[in-house]
Amino acid sequence: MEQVYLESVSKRFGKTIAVNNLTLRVKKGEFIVILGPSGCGKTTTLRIIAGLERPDKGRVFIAGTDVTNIPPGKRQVAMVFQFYALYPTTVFNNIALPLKGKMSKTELERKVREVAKILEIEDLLHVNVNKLAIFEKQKVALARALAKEAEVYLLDEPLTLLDPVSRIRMRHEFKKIQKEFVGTFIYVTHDQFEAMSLADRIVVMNNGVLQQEGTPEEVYFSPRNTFVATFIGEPGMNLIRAEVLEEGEHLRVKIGENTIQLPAKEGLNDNEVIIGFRPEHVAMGKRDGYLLLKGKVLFKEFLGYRSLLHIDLGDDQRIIAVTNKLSHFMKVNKNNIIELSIKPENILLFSKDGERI
Amino acid sequence: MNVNKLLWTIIAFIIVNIYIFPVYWIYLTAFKDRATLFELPPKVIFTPVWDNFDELVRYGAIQAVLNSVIVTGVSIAISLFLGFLAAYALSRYRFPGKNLILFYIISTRMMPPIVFIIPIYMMFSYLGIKGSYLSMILFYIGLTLPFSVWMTKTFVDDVSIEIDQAAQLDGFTTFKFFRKILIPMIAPGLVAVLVFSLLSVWNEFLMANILSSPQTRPASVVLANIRGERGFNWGRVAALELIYTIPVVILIFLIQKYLVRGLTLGVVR
Amino acid sequence: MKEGSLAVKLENLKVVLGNKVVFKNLNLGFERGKLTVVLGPPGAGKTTMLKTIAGFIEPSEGKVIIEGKVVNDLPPSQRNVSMVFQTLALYPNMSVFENIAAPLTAQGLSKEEIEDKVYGIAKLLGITHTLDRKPETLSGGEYQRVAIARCLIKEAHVYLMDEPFINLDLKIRSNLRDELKKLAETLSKTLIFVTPDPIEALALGETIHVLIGGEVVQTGKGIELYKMPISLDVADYVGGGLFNIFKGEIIRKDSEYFFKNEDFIIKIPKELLLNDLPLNSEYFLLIMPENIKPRSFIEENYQHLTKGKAYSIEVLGGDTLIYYELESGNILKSLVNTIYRPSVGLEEELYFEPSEVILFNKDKVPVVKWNKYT
Repeated sequence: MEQVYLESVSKRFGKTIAVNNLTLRVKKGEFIVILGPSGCGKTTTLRIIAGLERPDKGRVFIAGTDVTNIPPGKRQVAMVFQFYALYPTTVFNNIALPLKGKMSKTELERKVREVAKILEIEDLLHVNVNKLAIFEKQKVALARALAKEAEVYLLDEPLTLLDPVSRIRMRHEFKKIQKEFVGTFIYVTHDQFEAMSLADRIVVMNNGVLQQEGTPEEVYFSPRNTFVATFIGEPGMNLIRAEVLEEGEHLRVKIGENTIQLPAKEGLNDNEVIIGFRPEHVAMGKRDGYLLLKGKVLFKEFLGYRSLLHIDLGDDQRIIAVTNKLSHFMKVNKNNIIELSIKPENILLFSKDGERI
Repeated sequence: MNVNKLLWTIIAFIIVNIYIFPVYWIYLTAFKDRATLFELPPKVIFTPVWDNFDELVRYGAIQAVLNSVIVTGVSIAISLFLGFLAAYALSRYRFPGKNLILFYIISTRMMPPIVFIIPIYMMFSYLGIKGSYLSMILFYIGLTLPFSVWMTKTFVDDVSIEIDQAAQLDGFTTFKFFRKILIPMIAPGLVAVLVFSLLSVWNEFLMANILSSPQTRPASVVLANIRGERGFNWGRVAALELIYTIPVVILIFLIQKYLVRGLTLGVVR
Repeated sequence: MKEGSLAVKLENLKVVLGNKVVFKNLNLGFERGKLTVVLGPPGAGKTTMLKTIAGFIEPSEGKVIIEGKVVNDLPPSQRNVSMVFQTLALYPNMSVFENIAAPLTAQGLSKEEIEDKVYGIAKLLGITHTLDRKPETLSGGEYQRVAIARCLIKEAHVYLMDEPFINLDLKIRSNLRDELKKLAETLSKTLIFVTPDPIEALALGETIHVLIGGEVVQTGKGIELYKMPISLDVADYVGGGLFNIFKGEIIRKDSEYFFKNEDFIIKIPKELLLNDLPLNSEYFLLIMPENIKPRSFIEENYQHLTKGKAYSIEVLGGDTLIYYELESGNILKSLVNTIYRPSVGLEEELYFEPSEVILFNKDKVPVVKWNKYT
């Protein structure tokens, strides 16, 4: 049984469809990240799970119970927002407040110390929150949520307001929490690195529609459509148009001057196809059996631990090659014409409208 | 959902009417003749008459309202203008004694105006300007300027100095920058200052009474004296009040868009 | 650098802000027609430098020379400079068109000329569709582009850009960088680009001045700064805090040098060293994360380093940075070229590439020979 189940949930605001027929299943103990650009519907989805928004269509289940019509206070969810929203009192009181009246005093103290220990804020328990740094305040907000023992913990871009250094520290905290704390987490962010680093599974959304859900490896190496392919990864997947020459036992496609043979795929009924491959899968030079591409070097970029090569394939198509070995690009210069090879296993096919084949 | 909206609309309607009612009643009263005035239960539907207005015109009420407009208009205009210039200087420039000046400006408003009556009266008498428009205008500028400077400064502070610098690089002269960029940016704030100043000056009675002559006295003074007459002619009082509100109503209609923005601008951070 | 090729020159510049001396005695030149980057942490004086060149800040001593002319006494409007501010500073009450046209309207150009130029630069930056809108309706990337358009539209001796891409998404940033580089080339304008982000500086390529504490500590191309840092501080900064820096000592055994600390002992190949190393001194060893890998990812030449417990990861596009806690409690970062997510607490043996380490002496100066990277 799933811990959280959204069944065909839709929500619109005026003319905009914020969430479009979303079905989502979250298992108990999972750390799910909903990822997408701003306006994709991820925050609305979270708020629907929390009960802060009512879906126009569909149902919400938490721990097996239909909570669609149950107000947020009674849903057994805990939420952490971008803006920590703490009360002007001690750390201890902030964490303890939602628990007052629900357990004995000793139980309460034990619980507070327990979460404070996980988040390493034990020695701050009797400090007033207005004396804390921003990331410490966010830790308190987090501790407050964790102390509640909710069925699901909802986090709405909690690190967005932090400076880069604090953000990385807090991400380590989340890793720690995942190990030391048993709970189901649904985390929303627009930062793909954050998503890839924290998630057990990632749910990619765009324009209110679920694009793909899967492990970080799945969305990275096996994107289900061109949106996911270009959104995930920095730079995103290279996508180039190719002409289909022949179908049947093998698939032959033509890119520019080059023809390649690929294993046959079902469902391709077109004369044009989109070929995708990750920038790090582009090798220099010619190799047998590989897809060969020829292009002109537009420019090189050295970015420390990796170097990028921007290549013009002609016909308005450009690709980027990435390497961690500087020596690979050493002999290549601007405006050189070079040959590139891509292993067939690393090539993905998409239809003209962007769906994976 | 619609029932909710309807309910709230009704509640809002009721609240607004509670506030508007006195004004509405006065407007109504202005058109009543002596007889209808005292009828009980009070009449809402009746034949309106212009008698009260006729009497007022003869009495010189129009002149009184005009005086109010002149005195208020000139003093607020000057106060806003000087206030803006001072606010800009205090916001952007660094100079010795700045904090002292800021404090001094605000401190003048910490004293209740009644404290000024005797000194001002004596000074203006000595200068021979007592009874003229000038005396009232000068006083009102002094009254509203501190607030005008202080509040305008907060709005100018909110504008990043890099806008000034960008304008400098773009070749704007200071006044062109004021006209085309800075003032439009803080327009809602200036309107808020305008309204607050207006409230202080338009209805002001104490100093107006002392400093005005029969020719220059503004409507606030006339309104007070009109009550001193034998018997209360509420109809006439109401009529004067109606005329008295007209300039303000016109002004508010003209600036209402800025008004809401300006009053809430400083609050939401 | 030839004197004649400098568009901007700062000579013996002393700048004081409040009671802080930002520049004691700065000497720096910027080549004409090129994009130069000034990289430095917050507070290093980057914005102060730009504002001094523009004329918003007066130096206490020294000269600001633009195109051969000393401009100390000239107000900003007469120095013929253009600037993009950190806050972007678009005029909110004017349309995008009017904003971009603003620098030209004061110059008294005809309406047609202004329209031509505005459309021209808007097309270059891909913002023609925003011209009728007000700034508040623009997206982050569009807003930035408008600010850049307004800066570049007028003819100026030098264009000053103060962290113009801050707060933007990574993807939008790299697009804007490409466009800026292209613009700089096609229009051959003198641009000074200031940023605290080492990756951004590296990506912009060109000449980078590293400014720390009011001083230019190193100048060079990105790759020189990264692989051949002049000091440990420069290395640490340019590495974006990702570099592994170990404190330790040098010991000598059988005429070989070894670096020793609480976590490991490794041999330092003699070929790498410039001179003999004094013993009984503190040394710093720098190993970049991309040169440390867990056992399953090692390549040729890698040697064993130490053992660590994985406690967190950072996925950076197609690479993963793994944080390991060593027995001593010290932290080590390793970069692998795929998505790798070890479970928290996994113990792994870690290996490194010995020819890529950089050894610094107690004065934080490198004591190794450089491979040629140009």
